[in-house]
Amino acid sequence: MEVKSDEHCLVLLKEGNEDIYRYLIRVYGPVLCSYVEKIVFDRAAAEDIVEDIFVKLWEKHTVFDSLLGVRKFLYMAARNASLNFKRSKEREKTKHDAFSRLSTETISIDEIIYAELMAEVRSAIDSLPHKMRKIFIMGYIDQLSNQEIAAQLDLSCQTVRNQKTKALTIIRGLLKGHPGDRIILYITLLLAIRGKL
Amino acid sequence: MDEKKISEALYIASLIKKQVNKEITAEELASLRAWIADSSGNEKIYREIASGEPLRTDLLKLEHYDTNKLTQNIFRKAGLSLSLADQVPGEDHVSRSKNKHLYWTWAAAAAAVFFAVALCFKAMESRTTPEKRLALNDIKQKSLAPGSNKAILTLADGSQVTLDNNSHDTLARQGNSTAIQHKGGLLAYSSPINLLPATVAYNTIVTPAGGRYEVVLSDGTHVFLNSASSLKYPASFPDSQREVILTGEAYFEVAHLLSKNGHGKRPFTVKIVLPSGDGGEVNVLGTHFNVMAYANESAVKTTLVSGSVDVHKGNSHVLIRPGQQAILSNNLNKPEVREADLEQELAWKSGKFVFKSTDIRQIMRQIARWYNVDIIYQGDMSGIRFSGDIMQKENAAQLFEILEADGRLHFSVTGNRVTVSRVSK
Repeated sequence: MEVKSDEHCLVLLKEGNEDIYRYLIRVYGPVLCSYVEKIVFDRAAAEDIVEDIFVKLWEKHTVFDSLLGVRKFLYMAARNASLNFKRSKEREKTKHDAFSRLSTETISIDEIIYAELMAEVRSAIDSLPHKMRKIFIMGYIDQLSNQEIAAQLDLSCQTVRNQKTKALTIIRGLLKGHPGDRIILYITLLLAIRGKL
Repeated sequence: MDEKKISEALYIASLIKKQVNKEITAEELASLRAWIADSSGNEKIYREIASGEPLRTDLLKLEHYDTNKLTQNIFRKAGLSLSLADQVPGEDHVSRSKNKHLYWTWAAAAAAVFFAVALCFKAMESRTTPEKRLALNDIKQKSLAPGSNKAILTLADGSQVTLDNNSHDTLARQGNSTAIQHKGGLLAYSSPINLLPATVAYNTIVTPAGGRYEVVLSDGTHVFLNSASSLKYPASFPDSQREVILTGEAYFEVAHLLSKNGHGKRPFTVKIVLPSGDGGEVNVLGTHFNVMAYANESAVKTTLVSGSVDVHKGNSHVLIRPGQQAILSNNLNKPEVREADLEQELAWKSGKFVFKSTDIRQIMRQIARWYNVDIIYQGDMSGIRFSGDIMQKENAAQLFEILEADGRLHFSVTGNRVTVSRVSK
């Protein structure tokens, strides 16, 4: 599913569009599950918690005024629900209370940043049609030749070539490369970061 | 408080996304930089993200969650009706499918897109064609590993010993002094005090390109030998003087030593040998300094960190103070003195390349010595200079990516040969 922008996504969500709801689940579901699982250490519980969060999101889908608000809601809800789950578990066995508290009460910014970037990539992938995705991978990941791909998928070489080009165009479009007038700043930043090890 | 932190994280994530998409404004870049500079923790986070690897692995781990099942459960709990596509793993779903092949396909696609993102992180030009991006992928695979601790020691009897991080044992007795090789790239000599050798036995340590080694001489002087260099020294110093012979580059921490009669200090002399002949000598008492005397560099540079040194060539000599540098150009006989950039001159000792508007050829000579490669140039390299620093433990491919990023140069690697080409406008 191609979502043009955050604004586009928000409009559809507020309209109650179920496809955008599915899209958000596909993009954010696993990301949030992983985030929650890191706190609760329980796969099934994590999935359960995330399911409930999405249900809440649907219940209040009209109230958001930005996608940033949606994101904040998702992470806040994930965090609160995880901590509540942990605390109720800990109440059952209070022995190692203090220690595990310490490790979970501090929020780690990096996990949310990671989660957000992963969501970005998932959303880029989400827009590639299945067949194109497959050709793209066989060509650029498995590094098969066009002939090999064509033979395996029973397609013509020309189709394979076209699909590869198209996939790249789509992905590049998503990554929106603008001619690099800011590139120098950017390199400087990179070098600055790398230097300070 | 939690909410504030989540907002902060979302804001930084949005800046990084903009940076990847090259949509970031100068102000936003400034605030991203400020955030990175704010704490070493932030810097670490950013560096990890820019390296790409943890993110890629995490991305693949997400595939363990079944998005179809998730969608079905959520729809059920929310009281929504499922469509047919939700029940049958649809082809257009970003989801783990029951079909194993599809599952892996998706995971690999995630990695592919991620790779494209990672390339953007590495400042790929948007006008670079897809083919070029993938060519970079090739460079990565043919990665050139950075150098490490290795050297060859030639003992007085002519026998040779290979030194590296793995070997550690007492090598041989050289007259009265013992050569000991420790773990971790350090060769140390110990000599019984006041017992001077009857004859001077010379040892030579040679580092290859991509090798470095640290030696502690019998007088306690530390010598850090850079790549493609050699040092010849007595296994045990005679009383009269301390003299070593250097080719290439080394950093010396000379130990103060009184002469045997107790009057005055015993001088320490570094004789510099160039293929063209005498490269002068450096006379010191006890100081820290660096001597760079590579045959393919245009001058011998002696850089003083502490104490004082006297740099000789023929009949002329200069005395330099800490922070200064004596430069002996190959075609001149008299050393010149100037203020040194210690960070840049000593960067190699701290495992870094530091470039400050450094000419590409000079950069490549350093790369050649550290990654043990030959360099070939194609096109006009004049006026191409770079500034910045990078850790030497990085793979060469990473460095090439950065040097390629402003679109002026292209690097290709074949075996041990790196071809640097000027990209035509």
